[in-house]
Amino acid sequence: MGAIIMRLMRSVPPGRRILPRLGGVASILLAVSGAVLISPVEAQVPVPDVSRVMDYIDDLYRAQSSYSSMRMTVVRERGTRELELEAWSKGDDETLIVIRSPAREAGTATLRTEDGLWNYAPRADRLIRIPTGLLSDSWMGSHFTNDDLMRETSYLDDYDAVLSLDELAGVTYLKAVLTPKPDAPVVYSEMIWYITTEDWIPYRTEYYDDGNLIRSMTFERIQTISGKKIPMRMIIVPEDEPEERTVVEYLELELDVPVDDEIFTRQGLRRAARG
Amino acid sequence: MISAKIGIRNLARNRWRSGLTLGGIALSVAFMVWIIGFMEGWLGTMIRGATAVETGQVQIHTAGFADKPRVYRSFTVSREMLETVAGVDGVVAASPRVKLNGLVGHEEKSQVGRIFGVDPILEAETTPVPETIVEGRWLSPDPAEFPRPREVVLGEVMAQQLRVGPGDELVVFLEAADGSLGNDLLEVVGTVRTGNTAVDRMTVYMHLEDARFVAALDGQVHELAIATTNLLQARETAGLIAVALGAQTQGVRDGDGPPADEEALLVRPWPEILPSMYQMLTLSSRSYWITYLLIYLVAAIGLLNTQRMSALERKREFGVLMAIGMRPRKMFRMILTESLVLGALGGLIGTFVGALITWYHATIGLNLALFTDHGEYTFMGVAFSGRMYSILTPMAALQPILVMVLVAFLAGLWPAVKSARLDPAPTIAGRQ
Repeated sequence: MGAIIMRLMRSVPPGRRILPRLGGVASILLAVSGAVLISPVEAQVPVPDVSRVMDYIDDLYRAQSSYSSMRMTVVRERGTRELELEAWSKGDDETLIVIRSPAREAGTATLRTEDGLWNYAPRADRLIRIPTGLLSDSWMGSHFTNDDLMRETSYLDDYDAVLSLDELAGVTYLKAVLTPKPDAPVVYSEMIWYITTEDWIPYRTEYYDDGNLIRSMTFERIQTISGKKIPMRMIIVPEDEPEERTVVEYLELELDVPVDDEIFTRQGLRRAARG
Repeated sequence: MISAKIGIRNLARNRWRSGLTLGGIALSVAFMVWIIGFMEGWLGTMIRGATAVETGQVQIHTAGFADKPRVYRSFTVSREMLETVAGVDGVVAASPRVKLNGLVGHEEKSQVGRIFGVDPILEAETTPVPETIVEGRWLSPDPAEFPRPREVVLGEVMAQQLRVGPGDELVVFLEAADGSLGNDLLEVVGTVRTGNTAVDRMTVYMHLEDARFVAALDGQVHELAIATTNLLQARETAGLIAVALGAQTQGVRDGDGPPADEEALLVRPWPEILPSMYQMLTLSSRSYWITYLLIYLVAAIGLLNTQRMSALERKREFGVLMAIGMRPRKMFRMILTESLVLGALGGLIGTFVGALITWYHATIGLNLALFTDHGEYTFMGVAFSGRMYSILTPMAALQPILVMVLVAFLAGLWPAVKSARLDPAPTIAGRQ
C-alpha cells in the first residue's frame, strides 16, 4: 500500500541494490544536465547524484523484518471509515496485514507470499486468492490498490530516474522524475517524487498515466525510527475524487525485529487474525 | 364485371405462361410469409432471451442506481408494494433483488462475480432460471441456518472456471453498503445454464436475506424485476406500474427538466434497460422490408413482362374490340384485372403454402445450430440452443398477400395504359 509502506513490507536484504541502474556515461550526462538545471537562485542547493538519493530513499524503510500497527482512515464521498491494522513483514515477499477494528471487519487479513496474494475471510475462515486481474482494484475499500501490495520489486527496478530541483509551495525540493524502462511491467507512465533537499525525506509522490495525474501521496510527521528519519503519516488522494482520501498513520513501527516465519502460513495467519 | 370475366378467360388462354407467373408470385408470397414468421419468432426469442432470464421486462430501481449502480443506492420493498405491482394489469410476477459485485472463489481460484440476492420463490415466478438447473438444485425456500454455509446457485461457466460443483465451498468477499468488507462462506447447491451469457459466466444466486446480511443491507433491495404477459407492451405496463406506485419513468439524466431525486423510484421497460438490444431488434424488425423489395421486385418484373407480352399478342384483338365500341377505360380495367387476378390468386396460393411451412416451423421448430460449427448459436449474449420456433401471426399471413396485390396493381398499370391508348384503325391494319 503505497510505495513506501509497500517497501517497508517488502523488506529487502541489506546490500541488495535496487536502484535505477545507470551506465557510467549516463551518470556523467545526468550529472551535467543536473548542473545545467540549477538556476542562480537555487545555486546554493546542488543537485546530488541521483543514485545516491534514490539509494537513500530506498533504504529508508528497508528492513529484514518489521512489525507495525497503523490507523487507516478512508474518506469517501459517503462517509469515513477508520480501520486499525497490524502488519508483519519478512524478507522480500512475505507480508501479513490484519484488520483489528472495527469489529465487523476485525480479523480480515491480506497475506502476501512469493506464491501470490490472498484475502482471509474471517467469517468463512477461508483464504481467497486475489487474481492478477484485480491488482489495480482497491485494497480493502481504500485508495490503495492490490498492486501496491503485490509489486515484487521496487519502483526503482522498473523506472529510470532523473533528478532536478523544483519548487512546491515556496519550498525547494529535489524532484525525481521516474520513467518506465523499456518493457517494464508498470502501471504508471510516469512518477514524480519530491524529496526534501536536506534530509532526503520524501514529501510528495505523483502518479501519472498517459500524462494525467492519477493520484498523489503526501508524507507527513517525520520521526526517527532505528536511527532513520521516517514519515509516519501518508495521505493518498485520487485525482478524480479530490474530496476523497486515504490516510495511513503508523501508531507503532519497529524495524528489524524478530518475526516468526510461521505467521505467513495458513495456521499462523489464522492465529494472528483471531488474536 | 364483364371485364373481370374476360380477364380471367384471357389468363386461361395461355396456361403455361400464366401458370409460371402465378408460381413466381406464389413463391414470393410464400417466402415472405415464412420470413415474417421466422423474424417474429427470432425477435421474440431474442427479447425473451435477453429479458426473461435476467432483467425481466420491466424493472424498478432508485434513479441513482439506474444512473450508476452502487451498493448503497437501495430502497425498501414492502409487502404492499409487491402486491400493488403484482396487481397491475399485464404483470405476471415481480422479484425483489439485491445486486452485488464481489470476489467469489477459493484458495486456488477466484473471479469477480455478480451476486444476485433473490427470493427463491418469487425469482422462480419471475424468471425461468430455476428451471435451467443442470446440476444440483435451486435455492431452498428458506436460507440455511448458521453455521451452515449460505446456499448459492452458480452460472455453469462460472462454476467450471472456479472448478466447483454442488457440495463445494466458496468464499465471497465484497464491499458492503456501509463501506465495510463483507465476507462469508458459501456452498454451491446447483448450477444453471440459461443461455444468457452474463448469467452463465458471472452470476451467483443466493438468498435475498443472505445477500442482505453480507452486504449490510437490512431490509433493502436494489431492484424489482418484473415479468409481464406481453413482451411488446412492456412500455405501457411500465407506465401503469409507475402510476400505481406513484413512481417516475424518467431517469436522473433523461429529459430537459431538473435532475430527478436520486432516491426516487424509477420504473423502466426493457427497451430502456437494454437500449442496444432494443435498437438492434428495431433495426432487424424493419430489415425485412428490404427482403420485400428484392423478392417482390423480381415478381413484379415477371408480372409486368407477362402482361406486356400478352397485351402485345392480343393487340389486333384489342383493336377490334375498340373498333366495335369498347371504351378505353374498360380496356384499361380489363388488363389491370388480369394483373390483379394473377397477383391475388398467386398470393392466395403463396399464403397457403407459406403459412403451412411456417406453421410447421412454429410447431416443430427450426434448428439454428445447423448454421454453426459448435452446436450452439449465440447472438448478442443470447444462446439459441435447441430449436427456434417461428410465430405465425395474422400479420405474417396477411401482409405479404396485400403487398403483392398492390405490387400487381402497379405492375399492371403500364400494360393497361398502353392497351387503353390503342388507335383501332392502324392496329387492326397491323401498322402499329
